[in-house]
Amino acid sequence: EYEELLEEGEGELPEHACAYCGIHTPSSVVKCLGCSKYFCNSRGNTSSSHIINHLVRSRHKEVCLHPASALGETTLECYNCGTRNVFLLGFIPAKSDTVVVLLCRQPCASMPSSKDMNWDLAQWQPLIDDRCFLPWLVTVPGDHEILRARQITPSQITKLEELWKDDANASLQDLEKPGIDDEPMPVLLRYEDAYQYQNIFGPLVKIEADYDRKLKESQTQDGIVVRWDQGLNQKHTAWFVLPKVDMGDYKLAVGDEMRLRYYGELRAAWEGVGYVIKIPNNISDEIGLELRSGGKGDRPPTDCTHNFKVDYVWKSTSFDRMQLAMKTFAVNETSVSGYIYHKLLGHEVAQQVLKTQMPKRFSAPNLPELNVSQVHAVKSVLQKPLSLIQGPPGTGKTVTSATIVYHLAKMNPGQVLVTAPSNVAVDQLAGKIHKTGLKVVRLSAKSREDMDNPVAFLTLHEQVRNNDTNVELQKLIQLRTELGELSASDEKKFKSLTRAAEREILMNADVICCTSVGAGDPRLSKFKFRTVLVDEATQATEPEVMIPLVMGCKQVVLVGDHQQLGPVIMNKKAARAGLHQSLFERLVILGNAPIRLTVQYRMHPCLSEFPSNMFYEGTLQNGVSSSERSAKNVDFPWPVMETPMMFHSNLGQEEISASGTSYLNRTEASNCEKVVTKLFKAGVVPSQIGIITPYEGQRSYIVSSMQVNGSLRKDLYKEIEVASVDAFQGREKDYIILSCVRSNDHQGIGFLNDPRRLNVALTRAKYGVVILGNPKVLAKHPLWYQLLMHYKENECLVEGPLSNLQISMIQFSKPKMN
Amino acid sequence: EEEVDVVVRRQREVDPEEEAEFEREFAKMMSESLETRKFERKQVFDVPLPVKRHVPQHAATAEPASTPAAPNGLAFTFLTKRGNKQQLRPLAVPEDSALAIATKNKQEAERAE
Ligand SMILES: [Zn+2]
Ligand SMILES: [Zn+2]
Ligand SMILES: [Zn+2]
Repeated sequence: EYEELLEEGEGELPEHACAYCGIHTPSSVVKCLGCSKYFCNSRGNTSSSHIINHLVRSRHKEVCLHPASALGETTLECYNCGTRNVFLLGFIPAKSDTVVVLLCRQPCASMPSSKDMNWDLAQWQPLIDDRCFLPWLVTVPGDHEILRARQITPSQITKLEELWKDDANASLQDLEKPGIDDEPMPVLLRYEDAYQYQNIFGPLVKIEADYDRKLKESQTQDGIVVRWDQGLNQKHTAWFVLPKVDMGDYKLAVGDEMRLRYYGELRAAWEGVGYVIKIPNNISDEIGLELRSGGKGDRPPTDCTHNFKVDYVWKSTSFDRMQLAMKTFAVNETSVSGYIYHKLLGHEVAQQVLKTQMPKRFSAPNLPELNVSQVHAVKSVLQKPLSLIQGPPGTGKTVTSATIVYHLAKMNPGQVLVTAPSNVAVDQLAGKIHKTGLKVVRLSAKSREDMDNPVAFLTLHEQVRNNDTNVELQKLIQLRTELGELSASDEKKFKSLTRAAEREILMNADVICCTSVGAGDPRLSKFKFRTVLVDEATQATEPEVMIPLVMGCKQVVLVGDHQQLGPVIMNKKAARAGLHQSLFERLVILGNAPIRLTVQYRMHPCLSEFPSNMFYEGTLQNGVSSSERSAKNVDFPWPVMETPMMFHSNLGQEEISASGTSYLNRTEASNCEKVVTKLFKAGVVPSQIGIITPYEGQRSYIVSSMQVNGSLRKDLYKEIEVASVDAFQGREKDYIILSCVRSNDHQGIGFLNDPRRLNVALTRAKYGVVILGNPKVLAKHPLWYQLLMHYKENECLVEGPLSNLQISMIQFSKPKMN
Repeated sequence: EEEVDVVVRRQREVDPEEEAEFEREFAKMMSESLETRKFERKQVFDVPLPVKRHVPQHAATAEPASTPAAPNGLAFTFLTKRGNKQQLRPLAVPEDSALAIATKNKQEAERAE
């Protein structure tokens, strides 16, 4: 009769039916207090139960049991403090009786427990286990029930949750209505023309922009406490802590704009806008916001500390510039040369060789001598209108790029435009190019002008400031600094003189460096760039790379590595449609073979072997020897002294005593601290060590557990960088500890599933790598199976305490390839 | 008839990308929840043990008929609060759960002494 019920239609299901699948056994469902819908505790076609799926996707946190369940209508809450956040709740038993009670993990269950207490806090067991409510609290429906229920897929769940944000009463049937489920057109490999290109990428950029805006603007927070400070430049800086900021959906960056508002009663309402000058880091959680100097009478309320509100000022600049670049590509025939136009669109074109005089020497002045593969790269780039250079980790990408720029600048008229998606990469490259003796200008966004910059002397604004040929401008600059502002007529004069000075400096430059988005700066709008080099090209979206390209290019060099992490796309629809694929990658797929740099100078040879075989067809050679990468005086218990690598296995047993949440692994955190302490004792300093972990939860747990458990000076542990794989891309450390965080059978290994992420994680270390993880779980993934076999064959797969490591005899079978 | 029914589950279609995304969201929920409590004032929890009503040994054949036959388990009492009033409810905890194992071990240890 169940089937009949279903056939009669949705209307017949009771109110307490799971909003996903329709299961409505009272003991199997709970009511979400965030939206009053019911969800069941079955996994259906997903790895988490329906209720957990819903709570995570909707960010709801509180639930209530069904009145007809065994426990009756019970709201799950901490007995002690009343918090209802189910992600914090767990059971603890009494010491001498079979009584249990719900307590929150923080702070109620984390109090030091005393001997004569009635309750056994150490036995805290989470309410959510293996992404399900404890089955003896909320029954898991039987297979039979699940089979008869509505078969909802993970992607339907995603879409339904999206729909509920606009219409709380929407049902699964509404997904079928036209218009609701419109996926944007996916990216192509080849495009008819630039209009088609724009028609596909335009909407994707818009989706991403709208999403970014919604995300950032929803971050308003009140009740902020402010500490005031005034810098040498007379500007006021507000210091405050945003509880959500580095946890939330977006990362705050230096240079971002925020608005600060006072809404207390001590004085009139006030608001001011400023740029972020400091973001939370290991040392302090404080954010520094330097306020833009407003007019007179707009002094910030520096006498008030409480009742402030902070929100993010979203700017469309970068997205606007992408859209404009695509439009220029479509409508302006001189935006790129004919050859490059067709190449970018994926058309077949006859090979073209540029007529240029090749240099006699390929190394550039004051830069290191190039190796054979680097010379080959430089040589092949100079006469080709479009080239791709693939730089695996540690292969001297920056030196090669700087050398290429040197020759391109010498060989061609006009300025070479050099860009990268990140400011860090631009600064690095600008510094190297400057060494060759070329005239380099680093153009940075107005919002970053006051920030510390390693190549400050190259920045356009510094060059204007130090330009002593224009006496009148110098006077005005001085006056402005002294008075803080100028009269209206002086200000006008100052602006026009500045513009003229900027233009002159840019015109006289050999090379202009800026971020890819920065290439859309109005100060460059009149310039044509015949020659463009884009570094980190695999970390940018196509529309972003188009910005520097559509300024008249005839010769383009893209440098990157499509075996490392690509651009981050926030919106799932846009990512699904292919916005995360870089231009570099598409060109590779189209058959444009990249020139690969093949000699790595970073890793101990034993560390480069696996990545080379796995990600670079075994082509990586070592430019450093084992002895150059053996730290003679560092006494560390490597299983094999000659190969400073180990995979430290920890298995199931610990799982029970761990906090109970899969992403947070106490054993690994504790082992991590032991490895670190051992390294410290061997004379290694904090800046030499990097700890990589894919989960934010584990990151903050490792930081705090090292503070609590570390036996050496606490600030030593504080100085170690603990971050995600993504944060370490493009950088290196002497020692890397990778805490994989075991997951369980239902969840796969998540993050670490991505080969590119694994590649980046494995290639950061110069002297040694320690991997902490559960081989049984990780070996189910083909790539990790290979890695484990590699460690096993080298007798570096071990278990037990650091003081007495034993070769692990664990067996794992080859995973099925799918 | 029930027993011969073959349960054929539809193929799980799990997109690893989507799965990783969800995993990240889940981890974020967890860590955010913890993070917001970092500065919460600590209140010592030490409620005296309730004087229990009689709870049958293999419990939880409780009121509603819709509850499937209670799985064998250790009979616990679940202490909750409604307003300021304590409430006690029977709760069957499976023998192989961490809670039950810990309690059994403790009882055995006590008996051994
Ligand atoms: Zn809800
Ligand atoms: Zn369900
Ligand atoms: Zn509590």
